[in-house]
Amino acid sequence: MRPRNLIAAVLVLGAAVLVVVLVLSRGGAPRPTVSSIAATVVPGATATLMPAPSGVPGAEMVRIMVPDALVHLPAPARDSSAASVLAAAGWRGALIAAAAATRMPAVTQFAVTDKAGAQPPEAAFYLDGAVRMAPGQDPAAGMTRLDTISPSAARRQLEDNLGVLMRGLPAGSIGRAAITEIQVDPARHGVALAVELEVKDLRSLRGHLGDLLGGLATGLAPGLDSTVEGVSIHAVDAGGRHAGSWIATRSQQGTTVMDPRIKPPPVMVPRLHFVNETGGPGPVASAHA
Amino acid sequence: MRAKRGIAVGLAVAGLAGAGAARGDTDFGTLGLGRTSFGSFVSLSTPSSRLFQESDEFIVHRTVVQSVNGSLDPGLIQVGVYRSGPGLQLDNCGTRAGYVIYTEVKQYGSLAYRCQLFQPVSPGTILNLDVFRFHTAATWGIRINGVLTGSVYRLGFNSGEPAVGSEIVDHGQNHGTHAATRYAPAGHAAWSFYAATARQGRRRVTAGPALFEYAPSDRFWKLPPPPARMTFRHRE
Repeated sequence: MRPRNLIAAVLVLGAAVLVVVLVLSRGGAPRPTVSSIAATVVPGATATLMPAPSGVPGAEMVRIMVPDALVHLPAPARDSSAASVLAAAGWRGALIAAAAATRMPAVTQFAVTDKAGAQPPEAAFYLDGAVRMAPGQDPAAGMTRLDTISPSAARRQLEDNLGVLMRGLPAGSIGRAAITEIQVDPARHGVALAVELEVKDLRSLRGHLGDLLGGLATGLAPGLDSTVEGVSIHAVDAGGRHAGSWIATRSQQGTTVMDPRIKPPPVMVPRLHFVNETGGPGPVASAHA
Repeated sequence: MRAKRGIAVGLAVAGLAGAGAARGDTDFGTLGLGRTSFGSFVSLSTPSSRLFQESDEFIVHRTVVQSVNGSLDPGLIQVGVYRSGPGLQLDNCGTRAGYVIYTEVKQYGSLAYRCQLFQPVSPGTILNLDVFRFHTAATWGIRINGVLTGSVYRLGFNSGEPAVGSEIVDHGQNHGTHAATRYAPAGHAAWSFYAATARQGRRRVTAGPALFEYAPSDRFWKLPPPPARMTFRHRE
């Protein structure tokens, strides 16, 4: 090799090294993919992008494949335990799709499946969804408080809400409560919170369903002043009756599951005094249309 | 014989669709019925500049289909314009002081309601909101401004083939803590056109082929017996 060529080769190699160093120093971690976003929210999940069935040119759907245990039903789909399983899986799908949509303007829809790409019968109602109508829209426009509080502050709010609920209900109503923090979008400090409750008898709490499903979300979600990416509230009683609310903030959707034996009122009104510590949404009554 | 019957039904549908598609209401926009190659639909085309909503009455306009089979768990699919006061929200979707497009679905036999809010509604724009019945038995979908939301829902009917005969029935409960719902007979779909919930005294609202009456005394939408039976048939 001639000296001139050698010098040129060294210069090219040096430039390449420089580019790599610059990229690593500026970006740090590689850009998240739909699969890495899915795996962050649901360990073991993978995801792919495909054309959205809406037919909008350029629109894409996130297909999310989660571990079978998250979508395989413990009972027929019409049972409230099965509905709760599916609602929880759909909620996680909405969180994943919304996080993906913040980076991928083409994403409009999502579908959650098991590892083999299948859905249980009648599960699409829970597992399929949208994050926006058309590519490029900002579903979270106007949500100025979203992800502005620390995960610890969000968790403290939920813990305090739980304290209000447990003190306000008849003694022994709630046997066990567990809070889970879900990382949705670490780069934005985006978290979602899930609370699981074991309750003595949900029928006896009929007058407090607004406290259970609405009050517990005080300061967190839903609405334009939401502070976290999502809130999941799920209660099961000793009789196997389930009630829950799954709110995906950024994609602006909510699913409410209610065992018909509970016989809820048409409007579920919070009655206890929940303290809004974050400046987020206050406790609000909820009704279906 | 079968061919003649098909032609007769087709003419009836064409007549109804033509009549429905042209119906206009100065307060609530245009309500319509239509068909495409993949299904039929009920639609609401509403000028958002005329929207009106009192605090905590949280549905402004909607197009809705509801089913029941003598079951405690009827189905529901609707799309419309949503706005609420600070004290009431729809299915934990949150309150909205401004107008937004929403969908709400309860699948037949399901224990869950599911709502979704879409983009805000800008004053002066015309919205086209359709509830679709696809040709595939018992499957329904929602179209917003010409775009299918992508989800297909099963509202279900005894026969597995929905809405061979459809009737207008009441489906009202949009007034805070008040609720009242009547469903279509088993095996029928209910096509229910909703309009604004303005409290402007007793008023009657002509919406599509149905006549709704709003009476402040009981705060329900009331519906007299269906003035006409709507028949939808599809030829695959």
